[in-house]
Amino acid sequence: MPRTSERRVLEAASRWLAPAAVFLALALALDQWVARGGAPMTIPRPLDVLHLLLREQATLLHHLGFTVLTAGYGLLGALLLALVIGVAAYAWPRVEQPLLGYGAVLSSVPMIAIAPILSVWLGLTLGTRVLITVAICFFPLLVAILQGLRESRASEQELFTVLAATPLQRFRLLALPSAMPFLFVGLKIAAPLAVLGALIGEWNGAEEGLGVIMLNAMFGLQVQRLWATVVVACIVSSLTYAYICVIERVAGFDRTAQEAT
Amino acid sequence: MAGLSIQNVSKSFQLDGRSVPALDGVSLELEEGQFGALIGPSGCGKSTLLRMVADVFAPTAGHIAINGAPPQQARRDHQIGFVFQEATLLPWRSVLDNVRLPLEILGPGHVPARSPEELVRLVGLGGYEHASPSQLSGGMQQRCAIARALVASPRILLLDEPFGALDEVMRYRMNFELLRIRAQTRTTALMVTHSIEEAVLMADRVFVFAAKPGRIVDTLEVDLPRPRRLGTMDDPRFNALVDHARHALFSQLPHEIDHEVAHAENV
Repeated sequence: MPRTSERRVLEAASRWLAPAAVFLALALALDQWVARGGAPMTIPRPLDVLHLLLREQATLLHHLGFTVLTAGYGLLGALLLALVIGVAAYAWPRVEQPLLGYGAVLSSVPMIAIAPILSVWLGLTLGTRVLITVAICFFPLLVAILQGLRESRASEQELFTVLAATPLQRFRLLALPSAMPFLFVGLKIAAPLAVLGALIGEWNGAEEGLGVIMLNAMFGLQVQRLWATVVVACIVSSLTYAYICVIERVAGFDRTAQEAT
Repeated sequence: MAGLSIQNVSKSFQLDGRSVPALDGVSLELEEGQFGALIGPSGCGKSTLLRMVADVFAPTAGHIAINGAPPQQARRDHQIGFVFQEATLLPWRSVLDNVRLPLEILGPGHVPARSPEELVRLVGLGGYEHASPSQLSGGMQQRCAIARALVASPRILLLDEPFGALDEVMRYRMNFELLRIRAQTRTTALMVTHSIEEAVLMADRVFVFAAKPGRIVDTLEVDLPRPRRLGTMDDPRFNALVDHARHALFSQLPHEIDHEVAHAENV
Protein backbone atom coordinates (compact mmCIF):
# COMPACT_ATOMS: atom_id res chain seq x y z
CA MET A 1 0.00 0.00 0.00
CA PRO A 2 1.76 3.15 -1.23
CA ARG A 3 -0.28 5.43 0.98
CA THR A 4 0.75 3.96 4.30
CA SER A 5 4.38 3.62 3.24
CA GLU A 6 4.31 7.25 2.12
CA ARG A 7 2.92 8.28 5.46
CA ARG A 8 5.52 6.18 7.22
CA VAL A 9 8.31 7.98 5.36
CA LEU A 10 6.77 11.32 6.31
CA GLU A 11 6.48 10.23 9.93
CA ALA A 12 10.10 9.08 10.00
CA ALA A 13 11.11 12.36 8.40
CA SER A 14 9.32 14.45 10.98
CA ARG A 15 10.61 12.25 13.79
CA TRP A 16 14.28 11.88 12.84
CA LEU A 17 15.21 13.95 9.80
CA ALA A 18 13.85 17.32 10.93
CA PRO A 19 15.58 17.32 14.35
CA ALA A 20 18.76 15.99 12.73
CA ALA A 21 18.66 18.78 10.15
CA VAL A 22 18.16 21.42 12.84
CA PHE A 23 21.05 19.96 14.83
CA LEU A 24 23.30 19.91 11.77
CA ALA A 25 22.44 23.51 10.86
CA LEU A 26 23.20 24.70 14.42
CA ALA A 27 26.48 22.77 14.47
CA LEU A 28 27.57 24.29 11.15
CA ALA A 29 26.60 27.78 12.29
CA LEU A 30 28.61 27.25 15.49
CA ASP A 31 31.51 25.95 13.41
CA GLN A 32 31.50 29.09 11.24
CA TRP A 33 31.22 31.36 14.30
CA VAL A 34 34.23 29.75 15.99
CA ALA A 35 36.21 29.64 12.72
CA ARG A 36 35.82 33.42 12.30
CA GLY A 37 37.26 33.95 15.77
CA GLY A 38 34.20 35.44 17.43
CA ALA A 39 33.78 32.72 20.09
CA PRO A 40 35.55 32.31 23.43
CA MET A 41 38.43 29.84 23.45
CA THR A 42 36.49 27.34 25.59
CA ILE A 43 34.29 26.59 22.61
CA PRO A 44 35.96 24.38 20.00
CA ARG A 45 34.94 23.95 16.38
CA PRO A 46 32.39 21.10 16.24
CA LEU A 47 34.20 19.72 13.18
CA ASP A 48 37.43 19.53 15.16
CA VAL A 49 35.62 17.68 17.96
CA LEU A 50 34.18 15.26 15.40
CA HIS A 51 37.62 14.80 13.93
CA LEU A 52 39.10 14.03 17.35
CA LEU A 53 36.26 11.60 18.09
CA LEU A 54 37.10 9.65 14.94
CA ARG A 55 40.85 9.83 15.43
CA GLU A 56 40.82 8.67 19.06
CA GLN A 57 37.83 6.38 18.96
CA ALA A 58 39.84 3.34 20.05
CA THR A 59 41.07 5.10 23.22
CA LEU A 60 37.69 6.61 23.97
CA LEU A 61 35.91 3.26 23.53
CA HIS A 62 38.46 1.54 25.75
CA HIS A 63 37.84 4.02 28.58
CA LEU A 64 34.10 4.13 27.93
CA GLY A 65 34.00 0.38 28.58
CA PHE A 66 35.03 0.94 32.21
CA THR A 67 32.47 3.71 32.69
CA VAL A 68 29.66 1.59 31.24
CA LEU A 69 30.69 -1.35 33.42
CA THR A 70 30.57 0.80 36.56
CA ALA A 71 27.21 2.31 35.52
CA GLY A 72 25.78 -1.13 34.75
CA TYR A 73 26.85 -2.68 38.07
CA GLY A 74 25.64 0.41 39.91
CA LEU A 75 22.23 0.43 38.24
CA LEU A 76 21.78 -3.29 38.82
CA GLY A 77 22.84 -2.95 42.47
CA ALA A 78 20.48 -0.02 43.02
CA LEU A 79 17.63 -1.96 41.37
CA LEU A 80 18.16 -5.01 43.57
CA LEU A 81 18.45 -2.92 46.72
CA ALA A 82 15.32 -0.88 45.84
CA LEU A 83 13.40 -4.10 45.07
CA VAL A 84 14.37 -5.73 48.37
CA ILE A 85 13.55 -2.63 50.42
CA GLY A 86 10.44 -1.84 48.37
CA VAL A 87 9.04 -5.35 48.87
CA ALA A 88 9.87 -5.19 52.59
CA ALA A 89 7.99 -1.90 52.85
CA TYR A 90 5.07 -3.49 50.98
CA ALA A 91 5.03 -6.35 53.48
CA TRP A 92 5.34 -4.00 56.51
CA PRO A 93 3.53 -0.78 55.50
CA ARG A 94 4.54 0.89 58.77
CA VAL A 95 8.15 1.30 57.68
CA GLU A 96 7.25 2.96 54.37
CA GLN A 97 6.94 6.57 55.56
CA PRO A 98 10.12 6.61 57.71
CA LEU A 99 11.95 4.89 54.86
CA LEU A 100 10.87 7.53 52.35
CA GLY A 101 11.91 10.24 54.82
CA TYR A 102 15.41 8.82 55.27
CA GLY A 103 15.66 8.17 51.53
CA ALA A 104 14.71 11.75 50.67
CA VAL A 105 17.29 13.17 53.09
CA LEU A 106 20.03 10.79 51.94
CA SER A 107 19.31 11.48 48.28
CA SER A 108 19.58 15.22 48.89
CA VAL A 109 23.19 14.80 50.07
CA PRO A 110 25.33 16.10 47.16
CA MET A 111 27.17 13.02 45.95
CA ILE A 112 29.88 15.09 44.32
CA ALA A 113 30.88 16.35 47.78
CA ILE A 114 30.58 12.98 49.54
CA ALA A 115 32.37 10.98 46.86
CA PRO A 116 35.93 12.02 47.89
CA ILE A 117 35.18 11.04 51.50
CA LEU A 118 33.87 7.66 50.37
CA SER A 119 37.01 7.22 48.29
CA VAL A 120 39.19 7.95 51.32
CA TRP A 121 37.26 5.50 53.47
CA LEU A 122 36.88 2.69 50.98
CA GLY A 123 39.81 3.17 48.65
CA LEU A 124 39.99 3.93 44.94
CA THR A 125 38.40 0.69 43.80
CA LEU A 126 35.70 -0.33 41.39
CA GLY A 127 33.57 -1.13 44.45
CA THR A 128 33.69 2.50 45.63
CA ARG A 129 32.69 3.80 42.21
CA VAL A 130 29.85 1.29 42.00
CA LEU A 131 28.71 2.32 45.49
CA ILE A 132 28.57 5.99 44.44
CA THR A 133 26.50 4.99 41.41
CA VAL A 134 24.16 2.89 43.57
CA ALA A 135 23.67 5.86 45.93
CA ILE A 136 22.69 8.14 43.04
CA CYS A 137 20.31 5.66 41.35
CA PHE A 138 18.66 4.17 44.43
CA PHE A 139 16.09 6.76 45.49
CA PRO A 140 14.23 7.29 42.18
CA LEU A 141 13.96 3.51 41.88
CA LEU A 142 12.69 3.10 45.44
CA VAL A 143 10.03 5.80 45.02
CA ALA A 144 8.90 4.23 41.74
CA ILE A 145 8.68 0.73 43.24
CA LEU A 146 6.85 1.84 46.41
CA GLN A 147 4.37 3.87 44.37
CA GLY A 148 3.92 1.02 41.89
CA LEU A 149 3.30 -1.66 44.51
CA ARG A 150 0.47 0.47 45.96
CA GLU A 151 -1.00 1.30 42.59
CA SER A 152 -3.74 -1.33 42.23
CA ARG A 153 -7.32 -0.03 42.33
CA ALA A 154 -9.71 -0.68 45.23
CA SER A 155 -11.91 -2.90 43.03
CA GLU A 156 -8.85 -4.97 42.07
CA GLN A 157 -8.07 -5.45 45.76
CA GLU A 158 -11.70 -6.49 46.38
CA LEU A 159 -11.50 -8.93 43.47
CA PHE A 160 -8.52 -10.66 45.07
CA THR A 161 -10.32 -10.69 48.42
CA VAL A 162 -13.38 -12.37 46.90
CA LEU A 163 -11.11 -14.87 45.14
CA ALA A 164 -9.56 -15.70 48.54
CA ALA A 165 -6.04 -15.07 47.23
CA THR A 166 -3.16 -15.62 49.66
CA PRO A 167 -0.95 -12.58 50.44
CA LEU A 168 1.76 -14.08 48.23
CA GLN A 169 -0.67 -14.53 45.33
CA ARG A 170 -1.90 -10.96 45.80
CA PHE A 171 1.70 -9.78 45.56
CA ARG A 172 2.68 -11.95 42.61
CA LEU A 173 -0.49 -11.65 40.53
CA LEU A 174 -1.57 -8.07 41.36
CA ALA A 175 0.94 -5.81 43.12
CA LEU A 176 4.05 -6.77 41.15
CA PRO A 177 2.52 -6.55 37.66
CA SER A 178 0.83 -3.24 38.67
CA ALA A 179 4.24 -1.91 39.69
CA MET A 180 6.03 -2.76 36.44
CA PRO A 181 5.12 0.41 34.45
CA PHE A 182 6.28 2.47 37.47
CA LEU A 183 9.47 0.44 37.74
CA PHE A 184 10.27 1.28 34.13
CA VAL A 185 9.64 4.98 34.74
CA GLY A 186 12.12 4.74 37.62
CA LEU A 187 14.64 2.90 35.45
CA LYS A 188 14.36 5.53 32.70
CA ILE A 189 15.29 8.19 35.26
CA ALA A 190 17.96 6.07 36.95
CA ALA A 191 19.80 4.77 33.86
CA PRO A 192 21.24 8.15 32.73
CA LEU A 193 21.92 8.90 36.41
CA ALA A 194 24.00 5.72 36.56
CA VAL A 195 26.31 7.10 33.84
CA LEU A 196 26.61 10.33 35.83
CA GLY A 197 27.37 8.36 39.00
CA ALA A 198 30.10 6.38 37.24
CA LEU A 199 31.66 9.65 35.98
CA ILE A 200 31.61 11.18 39.47
CA GLY A 201 33.23 8.00 40.78
CA GLU A 202 35.97 8.23 38.17
CA TRP A 203 36.60 11.92 38.86
CA ASN A 204 37.49 10.92 42.39
CA GLY A 205 40.19 8.62 41.35
CA ALA A 206 40.45 5.85 38.84
CA GLU A 207 43.03 4.70 36.38
CA GLU A 208 40.70 4.13 33.47
CA GLY A 209 37.31 5.48 32.46
CA LEU A 210 35.68 8.32 30.56
CA GLY A 211 35.69 10.44 33.71
CA VAL A 212 39.47 10.15 33.94
CA ILE A 213 39.90 11.41 30.37
CA MET A 214 37.42 14.18 31.07
CA LEU A 215 39.36 15.32 34.14
CA ASN A 216 42.75 15.14 32.41
CA ALA A 217 41.45 17.08 29.41
CA MET A 218 39.99 19.73 31.73
CA PHE A 219 43.22 20.30 33.63
CA GLY A 220 45.27 20.09 30.45
CA LEU A 221 43.07 22.73 28.76
CA GLN A 222 42.44 20.30 25.93
CA VAL A 223 39.15 21.87 24.93
CA GLN A 224 38.41 19.65 21.95
CA ARG A 225 39.16 16.50 23.96
CA LEU A 226 36.96 17.67 26.83
CA TRP A 227 34.05 18.35 24.52
CA ALA A 228 34.58 15.02 22.82
CA THR A 229 34.14 13.23 26.18
CA VAL A 230 31.03 15.32 26.87
CA VAL A 231 29.56 14.25 23.53
CA VAL A 232 30.36 10.60 24.27
CA ALA A 233 28.80 10.85 27.75
CA CYS A 234 25.62 12.40 26.25
CA ILE A 235 25.35 9.68 23.63
CA VAL A 236 25.84 6.91 26.19
CA SER A 237 23.27 8.42 28.58
CA SER A 238 20.72 8.65 25.79
CA LEU A 239 21.47 5.09 24.74
CA THR A 240 20.90 3.76 28.27
CA TYR A 241 17.49 5.47 28.23
CA ALA A 242 16.72 4.00 24.82
CA TYR A 243 17.88 0.58 26.03
CA ILE A 244 15.39 0.68 28.94
CA CYS A 245 12.62 1.72 26.51
CA VAL A 246 13.43 -1.27 24.29
CA ILE A 247 13.35 -3.69 27.25
CA GLU A 248 10.03 -2.18 28.34
CA ARG A 249 8.53 -2.72 24.92
CA VAL A 250 9.88 -6.25 24.51
CA ALA A 251 8.65 -7.20 28.00
CA GLY A 252 5.21 -5.86 27.06
CA PHE A 253 4.84 -3.19 29.74
CA ASP A 254 4.71 -0.27 27.33
CA ARG A 255 1.02 0.67 27.71
CA THR A 256 1.15 3.35 25.00
CA ALA A 257 2.35 0.83 22.44
CA GLN A 258 -0.41 -1.61 23.47
CA GLU A 259 -3.14 0.93 22.98
CA ALA A 260 -1.79 1.97 19.60
CA THR A 261 -2.13 -1.54 18.14
CA MET B 1 -30.58 -24.91 53.74
CA ALA B 2 -29.49 -24.46 50.12
CA GLY B 3 -29.48 -21.03 48.57
CA LEU B 4 -28.88 -17.69 50.23
CA SER B 5 -30.26 -16.68 53.60
CA ILE B 6 -29.81 -13.22 55.11
CA GLN B 7 -31.24 -12.81 58.61
CA ASN B 8 -31.65 -9.45 60.31
CA VAL B 9 -28.37 -8.05 58.99
CA SER B 10 -27.27 -4.57 60.08
CA LYS B 11 -24.14 -2.64 59.26
CA SER B 12 -22.85 0.67 60.53
CA PHE B 13 -19.68 2.50 59.55
CA GLN B 14 -17.48 4.71 61.70
CA LEU B 15 -17.31 8.24 60.30
CA ASP B 16 -15.48 10.98 62.21
CA GLY B 17 -15.93 9.00 65.41
CA ARG B 18 -19.69 8.69 64.89
CA SER B 19 -21.46 5.46 64.05
CA VAL B 20 -23.48 5.86 60.85
CA PRO B 21 -26.02 3.09 60.16
CA ALA B 22 -25.83 1.88 56.54
CA LEU B 23 -28.18 -1.09 56.79
CA ASP B 24 -30.79 -1.85 59.42
CA GLY B 25 -32.31 -5.29 59.95
CA VAL B 26 -32.29 -6.65 56.40
CA SER B 27 -33.66 -10.15 55.84
CA LEU B 28 -34.07 -11.99 52.56
CA GLU B 29 -34.10 -15.53 51.20
CA LEU B 30 -33.16 -16.96 47.82
CA GLU B 31 -33.57 -20.62 46.95
CA GLU B 32 -30.76 -22.37 45.12
CA GLY B 33 -30.80 -21.39 41.44
CA GLN B 34 -33.00 -18.34 42.01
CA PHE B 35 -32.17 -14.88 40.71
CA GLY B 36 -32.60 -11.98 43.14
CA ALA B 37 -32.42 -8.28 42.36
CA LEU B 38 -31.83 -5.39 44.78
CA ILE B 39 -33.13 -1.98 43.73
CA GLY B 40 -33.13 1.24 45.66
CA PRO B 41 -31.79 4.79 45.74
CA SER B 42 -28.07 5.54 45.88
CA GLY B 43 -26.60 5.11 49.33
CA CYS B 44 -29.23 2.64 50.54
CA GLY B 45 -26.57 0.01 51.26
CA LYS B 46 -27.32 -2.46 48.45
CA SER B 47 -23.65 -2.70 47.43
CA THR B 48 -22.70 -2.94 51.10
CA LEU B 49 -25.03 -5.93 51.49
CA LEU B 50 -23.51 -7.59 48.42
CA ARG B 51 -20.00 -7.13 49.82
CA MET B 52 -21.01 -8.65 53.13
CA VAL B 53 -22.38 -11.71 51.30
CA ALA B 54 -18.98 -11.89 49.55
CA ASP B 55 -17.19 -11.50 52.91
CA VAL B 56 -15.32 -8.38 51.79
CA PHE B 57 -16.37 -7.10 55.21
CA ALA B 58 -18.51 -8.47 58.04
CA PRO B 59 -21.96 -7.32 59.20
CA THR B 60 -22.28 -5.45 62.51
CA ALA B 61 -25.17 -7.74 63.46
CA GLY B 62 -27.19 -10.56 61.93
CA HIS B 63 -26.44 -13.77 60.00
CA ILE B 64 -25.68 -14.60 56.41
CA ALA B 65 -25.59 -18.17 55.11
CA ILE B 66 -24.64 -19.37 51.63
CA ASN B 67 -25.86 -22.95 51.23
CA GLY B 68 -25.85 -23.18 55.01
CA ALA B 69 -22.24 -21.94 55.44
CA PRO B 70 -21.07 -18.53 56.65
CA PRO B 71 -19.63 -16.16 54.00
CA GLN B 72 -16.04 -16.57 55.29
CA GLN B 73 -16.20 -20.27 54.57
CA ALA B 74 -17.95 -19.82 51.23
CA ARG B 75 -15.26 -17.35 50.17
CA ARG B 76 -12.41 -19.60 51.29
CA ASP B 77 -14.03 -22.50 49.45
CA HIS B 78 -14.12 -20.34 46.30
CA GLN B 79 -17.90 -20.55 46.03
CA ILE B 80 -18.43 -16.86 45.26
CA GLY B 81 -18.34 -15.20 41.86
CA PHE B 82 -18.37 -11.40 41.88
CA VAL B 83 -18.93 -8.97 39.00
CA PHE B 84 -18.06 -5.35 39.75
CA GLN B 85 -19.54 -2.20 38.28
CA GLU B 86 -16.27 -1.70 36.42
CA ALA B 87 -15.05 -4.83 34.65
CA THR B 88 -11.85 -4.76 36.76
CA LEU B 89 -9.83 -6.75 34.24
CA LEU B 90 -6.08 -6.84 34.77
CA PRO B 91 -4.72 -4.79 31.84
CA TRP B 92 -1.49 -6.78 31.49
CA ARG B 93 -3.39 -10.05 30.92
CA SER B 94 -5.17 -11.21 27.79
CA VAL B 95 -8.92 -11.98 27.83
CA LEU B 96 -8.25 -15.70 28.30
CA ASP B 97 -5.65 -15.12 31.04
CA ASN B 98 -8.07 -12.81 32.88
CA VAL B 99 -10.72 -15.54 32.80
CA ARG B 100 -8.11 -18.05 34.04
CA LEU B 101 -7.12 -15.91 37.04
CA PRO B 102 -9.43 -17.61 39.61
CA LEU B 103 -8.12 -21.03 38.54
CA GLU B 104 -4.52 -19.88 39.06
CA ILE B 105 -5.45 -18.80 42.57
CA LEU B 106 -7.20 -22.13 43.20
CA GLY B 107 -4.10 -24.05 42.17
CA PRO B 108 -3.57 -26.96 39.81
CA GLY B 109 -5.66 -29.43 41.83
CA HIS B 110 -8.95 -27.88 40.75
CA VAL B 111 -10.57 -29.20 37.57
CA PRO B 112 -13.12 -26.66 36.30
CA ALA B 113 -16.55 -27.84 35.15
CA ARG B 114 -16.11 -25.61 32.10
CA SER B 115 -12.74 -24.73 30.62
CA PRO B 116 -11.82 -21.03 30.39
CA GLU B 117 -11.82 -21.39 26.59
CA GLU B 118 -15.39 -22.71 26.70
CA LEU B 119 -16.54 -19.87 28.97
CA VAL B 120 -14.93 -17.25 26.73
CA ARG B 121 -16.98 -18.67 23.85
CA LEU B 122 -20.11 -18.90 26.05
CA VAL B 123 -20.00 -15.16 26.76
CA GLY B 124 -19.53 -14.45 23.05
CA LEU B 125 -15.86 -13.52 23.06
CA GLY B 126 -14.69 -16.38 20.81
CA GLY B 127 -11.86 -15.05 18.64
CA TYR B 128 -10.84 -12.47 21.24
CA GLU B 129 -9.01 -14.92 23.54
CA HIS B 130 -5.65 -13.21 23.05
CA ALA B 131 -6.89 -9.62 22.83
CA SER B 132 -5.90 -7.23 25.59
CA PRO B 133 -8.72 -5.69 27.68
CA SER B 134 -7.95 -2.21 26.35
CA GLN B 135 -8.90 -3.43 22.89
CA LEU B 136 -12.43 -4.42 24.01
CA SER B 137 -15.56 -2.28 24.27
CA GLY B 138 -17.18 -1.74 27.68
CA GLY B 139 -19.79 -4.43 27.03
CA MET B 140 -17.16 -6.97 25.94
CA GLN B 141 -15.04 -6.20 29.00
CA GLN B 142 -18.02 -6.84 31.25
CA ARG B 143 -18.73 -10.15 29.46
CA CYS B 144 -15.13 -11.14 30.12
CA ALA B 145 -15.64 -10.26 33.81
CA ILE B 146 -18.75 -12.49 33.89
CA ALA B 147 -16.79 -15.38 32.38
CA ARG B 148 -14.12 -14.87 35.05
CA ALA B 149 -16.75 -14.85 37.80
CA LEU B 150 -18.13 -18.19 36.54
CA VAL B 151 -14.90 -20.07 35.76
CA ALA B 152 -14.45 -21.62 39.22
CA SER B 153 -18.09 -22.85 39.20
CA PRO B 154 -19.27 -20.67 42.10
CA ARG B 155 -22.40 -21.60 44.06
CA ILE B 156 -23.48 -17.96 44.08
CA LEU B 157 -22.97 -15.13 41.58
CA LEU B 158 -22.99 -11.57 42.96
CA LEU B 159 -23.37 -8.68 40.52
CA ASP B 160 -22.90 -5.05 41.58
CA GLU B 161 -24.60 -2.89 38.92
CA PRO B 162 -22.74 -4.85 36.27
CA PHE B 163 -24.29 -3.00 33.33
CA GLY B 164 -24.71 0.43 34.93
CA ALA B 165 -22.09 2.05 32.70
CA LEU B 166 -23.59 0.75 29.43
CA ASP B 167 -26.10 2.47 27.18
CA GLU B 168 -29.72 1.27 27.18
CA VAL B 169 -29.55 -0.94 24.09
CA MET B 170 -26.27 -2.57 25.12
CA ARG B 171 -27.64 -3.10 28.61
CA TYR B 172 -30.66 -5.06 27.37
CA ARG B 173 -28.40 -7.14 25.15
CA MET B 174 -26.21 -7.91 28.15
CA ASN B 175 -29.29 -8.72 30.27
CA PHE B 176 -30.34 -11.42 27.84
CA GLU B 177 -26.75 -12.65 27.50
CA LEU B 178 -26.57 -13.05 31.25
CA LEU B 179 -29.95 -14.83 31.39
CA ARG B 180 -28.81 -17.19 28.63
CA ILE B 181 -25.49 -17.94 30.37
CA ARG B 182 -27.16 -18.46 33.73
CA ALA B 183 -29.77 -20.78 32.24
CA GLN B 184 -26.82 -23.05 31.40
CA THR B 185 -24.93 -22.74 34.68
CA ARG B 186 -27.95 -22.57 37.06
CA THR B 187 -26.08 -20.52 39.62
CA THR B 188 -27.88 -18.67 42.39
CA ALA B 189 -27.51 -14.95 41.61
CA LEU B 190 -27.99 -11.66 43.42
CA MET B 191 -27.76 -8.44 41.41
CA VAL B 192 -27.73 -4.81 42.47
CA THR B 193 -29.27 -2.45 39.93
CA HIS B 194 -30.61 1.08 39.54
CA SER B 195 -33.08 0.04 36.86
CA ILE B 196 -36.55 -1.18 37.84
CA GLU B 197 -37.08 -2.71 34.38
CA GLU B 198 -33.78 -4.57 34.56
CA ALA B 199 -34.65 -5.95 38.00
CA VAL B 200 -38.08 -7.24 36.95
CA LEU B 201 -36.81 -8.58 33.61
CA MET B 202 -34.02 -10.63 35.18
CA ALA B 203 -35.13 -11.69 38.64
CA ASP B 204 -37.35 -14.22 40.34
CA ARG B 205 -37.49 -11.93 43.37
CA VAL B 206 -37.04 -8.18 43.55
CA PHE B 207 -36.13 -6.57 46.88
CA VAL B 208 -36.98 -2.85 47.06
CA PHE B 209 -34.72 -0.83 49.38
CA ALA B 210 -35.16 2.49 51.12
CA ALA B 211 -32.25 4.66 52.30
CA LYS B 212 -31.14 6.19 55.62
CA PRO B 213 -30.84 3.65 57.02
CA GLY B 214 -30.94 1.01 54.28
CA ARG B 215 -33.80 -1.45 54.69
CA ILE B 216 -36.13 -3.58 52.57
CA VAL B 217 -39.56 -1.97 52.13
CA ASP B 218 -41.08 -4.45 49.67
CA THR B 219 -40.43 -7.83 48.08
CA LEU B 220 -41.88 -8.74 44.67
CA GLU B 221 -42.32 -12.30 43.39
CA VAL B 222 -41.78 -12.20 39.64
CA ASP B 223 -43.69 -15.15 38.17
CA LEU B 224 -43.06 -14.27 34.51
CA PRO B 225 -42.25 -17.36 32.40
CA ARG B 226 -38.66 -18.21 31.44
CA PRO B 227 -36.83 -17.88 29.17
CA ARG B 228 -37.44 -14.16 29.34
CA ARG B 229 -37.36 -12.35 26.00
CA LEU B 230 -37.69 -8.82 24.68
CA GLY B 231 -41.40 -9.62 24.30
CA THR B 232 -41.57 -10.22 28.07
CA MET B 233 -41.55 -6.45 28.48
CA ASP B 234 -44.83 -6.22 26.52
CA ASP B 235 -46.51 -8.60 28.98
CA PRO B 236 -49.10 -6.68 31.08
CA ARG B 237 -47.86 -8.55 34.16
CA PHE B 238 -44.33 -7.19 33.53
CA ASN B 239 -45.64 -3.64 33.44
CA ALA B 240 -47.81 -4.20 36.50
CA LEU B 241 -44.76 -5.43 38.43
CA VAL B 242 -42.65 -2.48 37.24
CA ASP B 243 -45.41 -0.10 38.34
CA HIS B 244 -45.67 -1.84 41.68
CA ALA B 245 -41.89 -1.64 42.22
CA ARG B 246 -41.85 2.03 41.24
CA HIS B 247 -44.61 2.83 43.75
CA ALA B 248 -42.73 0.93 46.45
CA LEU B 249 -39.51 2.74 45.55
CA PHE B 250 -41.07 6.20 45.61
CA SER B 251 -43.44 5.58 48.51
CA GLN B 252 -40.78 6.88 50.89
CA LEU B 253 -40.19 10.18 49.19
CA PRO B 254 -43.34 11.69 47.59
CA HIS B 255 -43.49 14.51 50.11
CA GLU B 256 -39.83 15.34 49.65
CA ILE B 257 -40.14 15.36 45.87
CA ASP B 258 -43.38 17.38 45.86
CA HIS B 259 -41.80 19.82 48.22
CA GLU B 260 -38.69 20.19 46.06
CA VAL B 261 -40.74 20.66 42.89
CA ALA B 262 -42.91 23.29 44.56
CA HIS B 263 -39.81 25.00 45.86
CA ALA B 264 -38.14 24.94 42.44
CA GLU B 265 -41.24 26.37 40.74
CA ASN B 266 -41.54 29.17 43.26
CA VAL B 267 -37.94 30.32 42.79
